[in-house]
Amino acid sequence: MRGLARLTLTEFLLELREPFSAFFSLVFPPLLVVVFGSIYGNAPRPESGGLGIIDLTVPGYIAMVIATVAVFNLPIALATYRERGMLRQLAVAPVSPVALFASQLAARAVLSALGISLLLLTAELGYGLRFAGSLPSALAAGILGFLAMMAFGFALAALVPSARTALVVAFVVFYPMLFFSGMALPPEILPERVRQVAEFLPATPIVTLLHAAWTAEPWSDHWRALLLLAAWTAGSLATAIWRFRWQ
Amino acid sequence: MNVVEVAELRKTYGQVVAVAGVSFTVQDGEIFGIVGPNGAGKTTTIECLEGLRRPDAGTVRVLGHDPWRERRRLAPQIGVQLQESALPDRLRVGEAIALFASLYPKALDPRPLLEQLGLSQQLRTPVAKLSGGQKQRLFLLLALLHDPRLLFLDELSTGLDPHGRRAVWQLVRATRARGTTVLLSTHLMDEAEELCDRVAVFHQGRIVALDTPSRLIARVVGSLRVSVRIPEGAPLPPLQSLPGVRRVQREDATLVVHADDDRTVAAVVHSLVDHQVPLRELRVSSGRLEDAYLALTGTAVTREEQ
Repeated sequence: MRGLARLTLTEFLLELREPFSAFFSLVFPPLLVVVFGSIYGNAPRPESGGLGIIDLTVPGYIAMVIATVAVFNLPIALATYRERGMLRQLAVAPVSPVALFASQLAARAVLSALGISLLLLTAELGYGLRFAGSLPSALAAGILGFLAMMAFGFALAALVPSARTALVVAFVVFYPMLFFSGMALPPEILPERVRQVAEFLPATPIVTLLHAAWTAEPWSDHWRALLLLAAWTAGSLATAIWRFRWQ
Repeated sequence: MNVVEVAELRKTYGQVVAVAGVSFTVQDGEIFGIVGPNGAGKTTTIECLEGLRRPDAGTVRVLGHDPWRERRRLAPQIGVQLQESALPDRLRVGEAIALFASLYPKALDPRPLLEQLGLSQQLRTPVAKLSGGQKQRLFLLLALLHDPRLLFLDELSTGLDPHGRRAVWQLVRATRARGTTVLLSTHLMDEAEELCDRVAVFHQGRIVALDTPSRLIARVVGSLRVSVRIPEGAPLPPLQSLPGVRRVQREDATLVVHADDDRTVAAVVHSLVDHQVPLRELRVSSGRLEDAYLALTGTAVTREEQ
């Protein structure tokens, strides 16, 4: 237990000290709110049930924080640790793969929560964020989404052969999700064809569920998204466990 | 009691045979050294003992465990300094120590260790800012921190300056005095001679000799070493045929004769004087492990080339 807490704290500190990962998980999302808020404002729009532009984009940004922490930063961090022999150092100490996974999960949960809090605070203080949904629903969607993205990140980390490939794969996987899953751009502006394909990206169901929670749509309207999320998570976990290696 | 038992260990990487049937035991409280040229199978053997590699054949027992199958049960009892390892660049020395101390059921007070290894001032230094020698000493400290029963040191003094090496040697001896068994590999023969109770000489995946340094020296090159400066091109007496002479080598302007005992040395000197070879810079010293090592690993190379 003491070891797990230390591993978690260590990973948390290292992520905070990594300028690239700290910027994109903590600073960049609030920055987007400020940029788009200053352009469009957050005036209520009747066609959106009284919600403004910022209110509608925040769920996507929440998914973006989660995806940055779990899908972008995690595989790069783990692949680097493996390539440089840090994982071997842990393997000869009494550390189990489960402890390694658990510490990453805990550290990145705190990091995501921090990023999301900064994002919500900025939206609230700057543009009077409106929330029309249910808080338990939104929390559940966020936690489910986080766990699914972490599983996906672990799978990528297990598959990439080197730190360099991890970087390339992170870009190749992350950017399509950023633009087509509705994280950075509202899905409404995408052509129907693209949306049909994008539905199968791992981050899309998370954005869908967060949106639903935000606008008080019932979960039962989104069973397809839930199924896709479950499929991605199961497949990712299986890959992560089957292909895990210390060296 | 045997802390390590290895019997007919084999390990192949594709076509390359890294370890071709190695057997040895390490006794409780011993400092056991593995020496050998690059590619002799030293690191592969050590990594099989640490549970990082799975042997292709043979049996390996470490503290009564099969390291590959029971690594988690073995891990708390062993300390490991890997040949190639690293810590995250932005991790600080103090944080690394706190992390590794937390992974084990018990840990020593790090302060005396930090003091001995000259790292007391570096607690807040990020790993990336440490010199090569400081990193090496930090890895030794992390391997020692939980007071293991068995300590593995792969390439102990890589990157260390003479002061660092002395400090590390002292710490290894003190660790053994506390009851820890040490298994180390090294390129430096003076290090092996200084530290090890027994030395295994690895060559091409096999053990070509295993004994105490002094017996190894006596057996392979004789206990005494005579060197004398000779004029270039000077004719030499037939020293090789004297009884007790093991080897005769000419290294540039120095003649080196490996001899069994004082009587042999006297005979060599006599012969040189009889043949009017001037005795300039004549030195008689103890045989060196390095000479035995070169003889053991060098002849095998020649044999293969023929």
